[in-house]
Amino acid sequence: MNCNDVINNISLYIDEQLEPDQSEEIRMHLNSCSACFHVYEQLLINKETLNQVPSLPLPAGFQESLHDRLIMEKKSNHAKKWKRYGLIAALFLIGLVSVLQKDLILDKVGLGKGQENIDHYRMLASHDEKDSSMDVTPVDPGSTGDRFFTMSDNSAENSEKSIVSRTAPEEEQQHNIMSPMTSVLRDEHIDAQEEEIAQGSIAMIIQDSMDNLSDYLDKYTGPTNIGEKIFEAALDSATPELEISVPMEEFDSVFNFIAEYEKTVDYMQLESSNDLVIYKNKENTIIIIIDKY
Amino acid sequence: MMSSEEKLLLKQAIDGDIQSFELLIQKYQRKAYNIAYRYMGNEQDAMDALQDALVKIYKSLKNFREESSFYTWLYTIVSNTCKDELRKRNKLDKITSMTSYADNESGEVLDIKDESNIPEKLLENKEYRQLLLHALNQLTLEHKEVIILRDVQGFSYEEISEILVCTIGTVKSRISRGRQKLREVVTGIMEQN
Repeated sequence: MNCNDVINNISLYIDEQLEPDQSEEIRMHLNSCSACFHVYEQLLINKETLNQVPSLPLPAGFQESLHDRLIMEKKSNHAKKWKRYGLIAALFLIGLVSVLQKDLILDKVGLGKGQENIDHYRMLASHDEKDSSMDVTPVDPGSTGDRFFTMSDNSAENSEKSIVSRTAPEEEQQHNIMSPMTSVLRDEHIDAQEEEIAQGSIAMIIQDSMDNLSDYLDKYTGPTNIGEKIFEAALDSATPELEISVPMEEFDSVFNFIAEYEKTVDYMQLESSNDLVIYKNKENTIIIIIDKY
Repeated sequence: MMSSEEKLLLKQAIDGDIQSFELLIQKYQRKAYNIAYRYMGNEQDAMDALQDALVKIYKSLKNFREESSFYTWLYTIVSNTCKDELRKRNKLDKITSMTSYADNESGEVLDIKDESNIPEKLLENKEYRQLLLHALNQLTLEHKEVIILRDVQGFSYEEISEILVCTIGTVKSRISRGRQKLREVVTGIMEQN
């Protein structure tokens, strides 16, 4: 071994990671080469000195603080589990409601009456594991005169965007990144015929993604309030974005549950003036509902 | 491998039992804290990073495969959490605050004046230990972390390869180069004084 070989292997020699014959070669070299021996000596001293760095004790209050965080995490996990069952049940119920409404709408179309007050809200929810912030904005239903609310993503990136004005479907596309499902639904004109398509789409997706729906429903032990279920579904959606239809008569239920839910987890601050209701978490506006009819 | 007692605690912890989890990690916490401290450079950041890591571990216990060592898995998550946090702060490769002269074990400022005495007195020399910790922060993270794990914490090459999820060959190479680099940095600092 020459000096380079020895220097390259000196660390492994110190840690006794070499084969005996290699170690012996290095040992003999060190006995005869003062330069390499000097390097060896320095590395050995460094290693032994670092090995004497005293172990620091855990900071005061560490255990208590960790314990509190674990308890919070456990509660959060429990809530998520709860939400998962809620999602499944909600989707099922939404599907049922949609199918029932379909018949109602078709009846109305058949009678040739105006569509001013179809009892229906449309909601789009976006869920992020870390930031479940959402907006709810009214959507111009088009010529039908239907009134809808859209719940959409309001993460930090798009929190500056206006969500106050009534939003035409085209504008909504710029508003958020939509899942294929929501894109399909949003491109549709909201008239009675296409409402039927939209509701059909929802029902179909439920069918496609919930092969074991009945199994899940059997296990479901979560909330029975439909608003609770729908909101849980929105928050804990298996898909990043989920568009769901909410019957008008259930809208208050959904909305109230959002408020109650967030209050219980100390997540929202409420501001309200006239018809404008704003919910916020620390930095981002979560929900704005304007002109709730 | 885990003892039967640890396996029982693990099972209970997976089921959500916090006390079992706390018992399971009890004997590894201090070492984990010291690893985090050497990554993060101060008590508060180390404590935060360690708690983040332990919560992650609690959440993902069901993913732990018992054929591997629980403690190396734990230290892997601690190490990764610290590195993620440092990346967030854009501190990688330019870490200067991990253990500065004023943030060493004694809080004293180093004053190495007499180089001629160093070889004889180094092993007992607290100042030299502080100098080494300071010099360690001049290294790249990949060199620094292997030296922390090997020379400060005393892990074997095999354990380090598990913790850092790399081959033993990589560990050997990094330790060898890291020690050489450390020696050069120390020499440079001493020449300046």
